[in-house]
Amino acid sequence: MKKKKCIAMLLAGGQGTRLFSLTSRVAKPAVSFGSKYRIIDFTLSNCSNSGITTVGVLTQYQPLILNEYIGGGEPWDLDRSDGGVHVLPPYQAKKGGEWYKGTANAIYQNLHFLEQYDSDHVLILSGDHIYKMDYSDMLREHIKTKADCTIAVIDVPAADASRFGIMDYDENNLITSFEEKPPVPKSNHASMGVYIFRKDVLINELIEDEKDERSSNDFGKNIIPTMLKKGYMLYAYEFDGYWKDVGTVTSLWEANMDLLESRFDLGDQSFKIYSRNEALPPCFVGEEGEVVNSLVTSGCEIYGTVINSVLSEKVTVAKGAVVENSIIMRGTIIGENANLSYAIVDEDVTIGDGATIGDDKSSKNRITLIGRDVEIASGAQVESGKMIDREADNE
Amino acid sequence: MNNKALGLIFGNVNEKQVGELTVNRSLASVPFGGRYRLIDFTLSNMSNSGIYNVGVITRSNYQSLMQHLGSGKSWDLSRKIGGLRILPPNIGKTYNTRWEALRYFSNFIRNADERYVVLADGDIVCNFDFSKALAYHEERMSDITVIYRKKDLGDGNEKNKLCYSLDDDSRVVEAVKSDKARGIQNVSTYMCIMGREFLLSLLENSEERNISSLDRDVLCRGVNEYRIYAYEHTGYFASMDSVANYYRHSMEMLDRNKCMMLFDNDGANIYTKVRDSAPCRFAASSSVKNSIIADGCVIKGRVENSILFRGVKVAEDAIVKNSILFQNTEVGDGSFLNCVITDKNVHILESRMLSGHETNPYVISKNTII
Repeated sequence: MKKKKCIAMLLAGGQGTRLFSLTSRVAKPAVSFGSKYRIIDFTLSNCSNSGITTVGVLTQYQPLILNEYIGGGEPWDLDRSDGGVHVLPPYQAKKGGEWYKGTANAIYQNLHFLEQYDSDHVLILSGDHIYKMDYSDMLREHIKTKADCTIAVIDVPAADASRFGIMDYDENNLITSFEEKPPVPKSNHASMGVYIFRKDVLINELIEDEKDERSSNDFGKNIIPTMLKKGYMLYAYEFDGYWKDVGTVTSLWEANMDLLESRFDLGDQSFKIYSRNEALPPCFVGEEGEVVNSLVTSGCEIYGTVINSVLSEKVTVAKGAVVENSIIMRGTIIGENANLSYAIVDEDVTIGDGATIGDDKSSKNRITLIGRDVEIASGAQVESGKMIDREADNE
Repeated sequence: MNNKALGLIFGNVNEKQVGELTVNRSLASVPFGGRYRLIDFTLSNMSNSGIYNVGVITRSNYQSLMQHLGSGKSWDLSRKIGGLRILPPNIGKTYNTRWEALRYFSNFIRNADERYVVLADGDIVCNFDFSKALAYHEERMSDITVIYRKKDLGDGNEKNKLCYSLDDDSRVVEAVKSDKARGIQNVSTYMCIMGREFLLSLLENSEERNISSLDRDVLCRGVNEYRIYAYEHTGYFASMDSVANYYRHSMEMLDRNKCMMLFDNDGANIYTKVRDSAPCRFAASSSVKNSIIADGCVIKGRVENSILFRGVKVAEDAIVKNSILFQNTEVGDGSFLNCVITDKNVHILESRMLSGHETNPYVISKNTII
């Protein structure tokens, strides 16, 4: 097999509990985003656009839709005869099997996959961020500095810093300290959860970490701090593009709205984001339809009014309906004269005629969430901030 | 028993009739419906009907067609056995009529092992299930099954189409050119089914039997000699025999009933090459009515009764009415378009006024800057 410089391991097992009903039946990376994408499309497209063509996707929580979505990897040009994309769920081996305990343990359990490919470096990614990044630049830096590990870093607002791994580094970008989710952050240099390791170092550290029973087997909490302590060379790679963690309902809403404000450009022909799409005719706007400051895609039919919203494939907005400041995911039907404000509506939902979602208190901090397959009765009123899921999923 | 069918699509027929749109491409690769090419319909119909061995016969201008088709993957036609084959002419001798093309590629037909051959023109827009027609063909033990539709020819201004007279059993008893036909007729769709061996025997004996045209010498002259049965297509159908007709049929896609009939026939989808365009962006200043807008468009101005292909940009204060804008057309600030067809990459600068008429739309050729 041909030698590869770098292979990628993409952590996609997260439950995403802070997305509530949106992740009650799918893993976070499979949640719809930006009209025609799913969250994982961004990382997979980044890999493809960076020339990294061997990608292991580690799944655990609700993997069915994600597995089906990734398939053979063809939409991202990752269907390769040598390498390509591989879904790696936890499995039963001779010595027994267990669920992935933490991010590091997930990789540890797939060491055989890493060893199968002849590569010097391993790129560790998480499947729940929205950004465009050419990892090959980072890899070049990593090789140039002869780092044992390079961590991508972005400066976040100080108020958010305690949600991330926070580090300090010197003028040569050599990391001097690293703290995972510190209550009192020393800086605003946040880890993006994008690491490149020398493969031999990574394998060694994963095996060591696994021996430590007190470890929670997590990159940010254990592997990185331990490596610093041991005197390994860890470098920061500064990233100054758009990057958004979409772990909460509000941040998911904001990231979608950023597309409308052109804070993040999906139209760049030289760095496309790929996705798996169903064969659907282009969108149709009817005689009385009105679409303003919104993203709409194939299969949509708009007979009502859509303002400041993001609509996924096959969404129908009937006559007289008004959809404002909302995100409507694929296959959802909005009935006649229905009214939606600051709502996130998951896939295949039916909103009955004349139903009202949200009220005068609606805002980006009081978003109404309607779960997958839910039917909202005609004329029903759902107040702002409420989360509705199918009853079966709450059991 | 092997009851599979080989598909053969004529990619270059009728193209003189829509001259302006086929300067740089074959008729089969003319864009249609906001994101498709004409050949997508027949290829999807074949793939949806389990026909996975398909030859596309080309003659000239086939570069854009080849680029569009690629490996055939988009139509599920990238196969280990069969799959999509592009059949271009060799240097020197070529072919003009459908029959000449079939004779030219008779080896391809001979080397296939399917029991039937499905022939179709590359400019047909419909959603048709060949598997039902194949079952019908088998049941009647036909030599040929022609697929027709009922159409009102009015006062007889349709030229060059075949019209069939049928007996009570739907056997074709007469086939004549439409030039003199009036009123409601059974009109050819230019799709038909034949036994592969039967077709080969006709091709091999073309000279003795004096056959040089599929329509005239096989279908018209052969009604008594061969068992020719007719199978009706009742859904939406269009074929492109003039620019005005191309325009009219394109605009029919704004009629939701017709559009649904075409794109949503029992879950049989129409496939096309994926381009991974971004979603369509409607700006705060946009106003769009009764229009089809493909992905990758950025709309800042007004669009009415129009079809916009992928990557079209309409600037603020521009007005686009009753028009068809192909991929990557840009309409500048304050321009006005009415009954215009712009080919790919046309750039309309600021404050231009362009207008055609429904019966004679103004076609602007590829890469033009106005």
